[in-house]
Amino acid sequence: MKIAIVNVCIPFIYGGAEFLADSLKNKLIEYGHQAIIVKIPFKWYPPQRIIEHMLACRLLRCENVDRVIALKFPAYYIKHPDKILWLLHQHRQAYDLWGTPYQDIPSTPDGLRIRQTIIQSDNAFIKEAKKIYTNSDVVSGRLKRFNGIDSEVLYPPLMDAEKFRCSEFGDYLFYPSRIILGKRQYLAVESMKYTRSGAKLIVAGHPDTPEQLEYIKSIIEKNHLQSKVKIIGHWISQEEKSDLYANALGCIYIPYDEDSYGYVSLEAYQSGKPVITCSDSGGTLAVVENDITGYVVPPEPQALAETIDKLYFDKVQSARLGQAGREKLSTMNITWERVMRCLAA
Amino acid sequence: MKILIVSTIVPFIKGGGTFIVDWLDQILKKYGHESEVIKIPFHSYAPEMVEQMLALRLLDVKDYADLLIAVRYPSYVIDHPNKVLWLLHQFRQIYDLWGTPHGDIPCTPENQQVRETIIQSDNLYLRQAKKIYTISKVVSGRLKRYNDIDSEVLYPPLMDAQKYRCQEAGDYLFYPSRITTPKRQYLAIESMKYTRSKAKLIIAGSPDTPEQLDHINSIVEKNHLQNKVKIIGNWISQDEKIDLFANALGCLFIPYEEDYGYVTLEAYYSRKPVITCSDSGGVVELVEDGVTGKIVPPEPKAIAEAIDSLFFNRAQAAKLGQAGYQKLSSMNISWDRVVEKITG
Amino acid sequence: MKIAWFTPFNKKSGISRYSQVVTNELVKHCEVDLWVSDGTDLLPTELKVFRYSTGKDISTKRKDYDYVIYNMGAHLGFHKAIYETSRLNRGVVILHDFVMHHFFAGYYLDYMRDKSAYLDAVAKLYGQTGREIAEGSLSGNCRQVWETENVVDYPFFEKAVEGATGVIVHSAFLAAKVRACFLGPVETIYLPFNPALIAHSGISKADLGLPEDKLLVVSSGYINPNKRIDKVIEVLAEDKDLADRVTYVIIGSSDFVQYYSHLEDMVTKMNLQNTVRFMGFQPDDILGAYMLNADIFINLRFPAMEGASWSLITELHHEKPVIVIDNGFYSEIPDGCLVKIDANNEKMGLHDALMTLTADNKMRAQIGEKGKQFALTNFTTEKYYQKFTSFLDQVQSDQPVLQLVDRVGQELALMKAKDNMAVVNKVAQSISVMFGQQ
Repeated sequence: MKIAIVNVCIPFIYGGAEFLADSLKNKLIEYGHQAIIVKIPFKWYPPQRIIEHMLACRLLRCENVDRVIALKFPAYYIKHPDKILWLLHQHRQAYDLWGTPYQDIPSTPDGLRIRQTIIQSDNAFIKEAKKIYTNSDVVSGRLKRFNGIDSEVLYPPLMDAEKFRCSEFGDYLFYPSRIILGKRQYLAVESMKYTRSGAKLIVAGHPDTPEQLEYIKSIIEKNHLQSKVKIIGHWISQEEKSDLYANALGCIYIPYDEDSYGYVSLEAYQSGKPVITCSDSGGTLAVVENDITGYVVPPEPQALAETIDKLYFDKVQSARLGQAGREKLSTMNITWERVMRCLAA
Repeated sequence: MKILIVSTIVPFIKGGGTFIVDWLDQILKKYGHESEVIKIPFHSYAPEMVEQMLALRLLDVKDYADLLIAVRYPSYVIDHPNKVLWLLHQFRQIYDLWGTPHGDIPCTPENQQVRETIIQSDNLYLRQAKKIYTISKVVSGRLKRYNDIDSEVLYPPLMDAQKYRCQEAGDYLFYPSRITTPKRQYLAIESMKYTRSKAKLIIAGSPDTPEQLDHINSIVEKNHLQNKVKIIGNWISQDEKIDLFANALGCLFIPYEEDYGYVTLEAYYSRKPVITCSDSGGVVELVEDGVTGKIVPPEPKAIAEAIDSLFFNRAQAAKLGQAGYQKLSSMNISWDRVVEKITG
Repeated sequence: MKIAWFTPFNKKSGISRYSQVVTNELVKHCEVDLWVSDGTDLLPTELKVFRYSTGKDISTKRKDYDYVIYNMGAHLGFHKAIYETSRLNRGVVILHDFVMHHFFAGYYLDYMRDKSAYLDAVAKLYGQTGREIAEGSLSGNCRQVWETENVVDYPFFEKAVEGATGVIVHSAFLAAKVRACFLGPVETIYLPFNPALIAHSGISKADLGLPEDKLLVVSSGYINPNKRIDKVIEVLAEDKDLADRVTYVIIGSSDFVQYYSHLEDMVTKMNLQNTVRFMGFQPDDILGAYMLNADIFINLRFPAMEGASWSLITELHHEKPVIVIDNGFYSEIPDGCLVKIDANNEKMGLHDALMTLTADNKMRAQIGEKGKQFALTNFTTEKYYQKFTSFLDQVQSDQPVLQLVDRVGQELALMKAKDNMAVVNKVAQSISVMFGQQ
């Protein structure tokens, strides 16, 4: 089949969604299809831009493809007779973020109208899809609650699970991710003030802006954590990453309110390592279960420090948690076979 | 600089135009810029063009990049204060192909209205660009003729020119291209009816439709040219192509009104002479008759004669090929030049 | 909330007084600046008054205001600058008059001196037929259309509301007409009337030299053929008995010299000098005294050319029965609050109404009371303010749609796309679904 993966593009940002699109494309080709990624740029401020881009997506066309797989708002508005959604994001500002400080759209009459329009359009256009999948229970739940639309959860697998392995349980917690406030690397660093063990922290990732990196570095300096915390402030290779997972004590992944469990959780469990996450991290709770596959704690430095120490002081238990996580993954059927069956059959 | 390269594409249509944006992206990154390619899907069917242009106008990328490079119609309608065009071609269906047998849009009153709207938009939005480059004099010529807009020619280089090489010339002319009517593989095959030498023809490329492949296969069969003509009816790898060039006697490249033609570059980097036709468009800008190859009328007999002349005089063929290579070097068709022109 | 209120504010325009009443109420709840292009001799106000001359672009000051309000009426001199400003800065239009043809004829022909612009504007709204009528008006071979009653078919109000972010009118009658051509939000808000305006001066019928034993019937306002005074006179002439029961006083000046003379001639020829009196223009206090002493009002308009009727609202507040023709704004007042006659049977209806009312003082009192109750409940400043502000919310709520439609319109116009192209429908369709209008 000729398949176009339609995604939204915020120039120069490469995150989980972009990685997923690339992985999906490569897998589709591996499975014998022709696949291409097409992107539509998106801007959501001032709020009027949102509806302009919604209309733009409605008017664009994708020719010469048998199927379109759309991932994000408002790219999934594009018309095609054989459209499948693998929904990563609706425009959360109009939904669960409405009424919070992250609402973004003003509560003026015109802001309310824009919100209403987003909801109405989602209601009308999402239903055009032949099948609707999402990447997490959180996203499916939201789609049902706000739009009354049913969907099936289709977990995104790792691209190259076989590259991850478990070597030994070292002395560091590993936190690989884009360095951005939402991922809360700063919180992980702060928690190292309170650890009593010899545990260390390695943070690795490309900062969205130089300021993000400076901020974390300044926390380390102010609190003299240089011997405990190491920051690799740029992209690392697949190999470097696998190595760091393989020898980690465990993984710490504590983003704020994310929809999906995140590739980090998968990579950690694939490497047989336990995961520490926060009670407000969102989608990670689908895989990280407290005391079973890792630890779930409130987003407070002391609470985090406690679990870091726990992992350090009882490495046998850490290994058990990691293994349990790995087993749990396999029960969840997070495989490319399933993805291909759902999206490309 | 933060640079956005925007192209509107029809998915899965292969051809020279699809590589240029990826190559440019790689090169700009090498030069230390932050660059990203955005491929926006579109439908090349004229009656639906106006709404797609409207859609592109609604997209706001003004704050995302310092420079926007637009490469194909209709991506150049996107708004940006620092827009540079490196035009592959316009919507030829409404310009030079309108009303001709190669045009695929019926000349109804509705389509005429659409056509006028597209021309109006081109006139308006092409002019918004800070600099306008095209890939050949042919494209610049059309831009001047149809829209009265001046532009500078900036020939696109190959990505991996250094991989091409020259080995001993065999007995075949090589014709690599998408198999489709405007490329006129059918004409190349027909000319093999009239060759007197033992020269052969190898055609390689992915057919636009199965019918295209059937068509040229049937010409070979009808004329019993199986010994002379070999058709590889699918996309071949870069390595295979380089090999076939390396051992060719020469390159036969006779499309109708081609915008540019990377094939010409590939031939000359392989130091092989090029036979082309007088109506082959951009190809003719790079080939000099009698110096770096042969330019003949688009008739089977004339083409056959040119093929024979290469076969019967190998030394001359080699000289032509070598001269072609020299000429290319002197023209400075390089990525350095491209980056300088576009970002300077 | 801060509002820029564009209005005539001179002493001659009825809209000035309306603006005075409304802005005095609005300013209790938000900031209001008056923008006035008139000369001197303005009504008193405590509000800040900004003077501007014709067509001034207030773009730089625009961001100081949440809303810009334009009061549009048929008088060219009072509203020209307002109209021109509304072209440059979009805002809410309060459309006071239905027939705006006089305004635009004056604007194009007297002010811009551009006949072809006038003809094009007419053709754009009313097609080839309209163009021909307009050409006839300019040729001098027939009466100018805006001087005839046919003008109701070519009212031109469409041009006054073009590009508005919202339109307020003062009758459901005009709202329906506006909705037929204007896609944005439209609201009907009944005019606010301050009952304190009715000053009880204590002047009696005797003081006014009126016979005490006859009922006083009053018609007031500018006299023009639209007011059907000639029909009233005919009805009185045809029934001497009826004529003897009443004194019919006509107060108001007229620009229709011939018509006015004709009315006076009729009275003379039909021997109605004892019944009918032409008072001409009278100052407010005298007019007020006549109205307070009136027993019956006659307020006939056909065909309706106004957006509402200030005179009717005033009359209703006087607690006396009003005889009207059933059309326009007059139809919206519930039966029993006044007396409606059928335009197709005008004279008979008028005769019957007068006969019944002059004979039955209980009925007069009943109708008068119901009419006043209705007026007191519906024509209030509080109601006006409430509906006005919630309409502004709606206008703001519609902004995203309007702006999107505008943007699309602009882009298509730049491409010189024609209205009949498929793309227009497709886009309209998409927008319609997006905004839940399907």
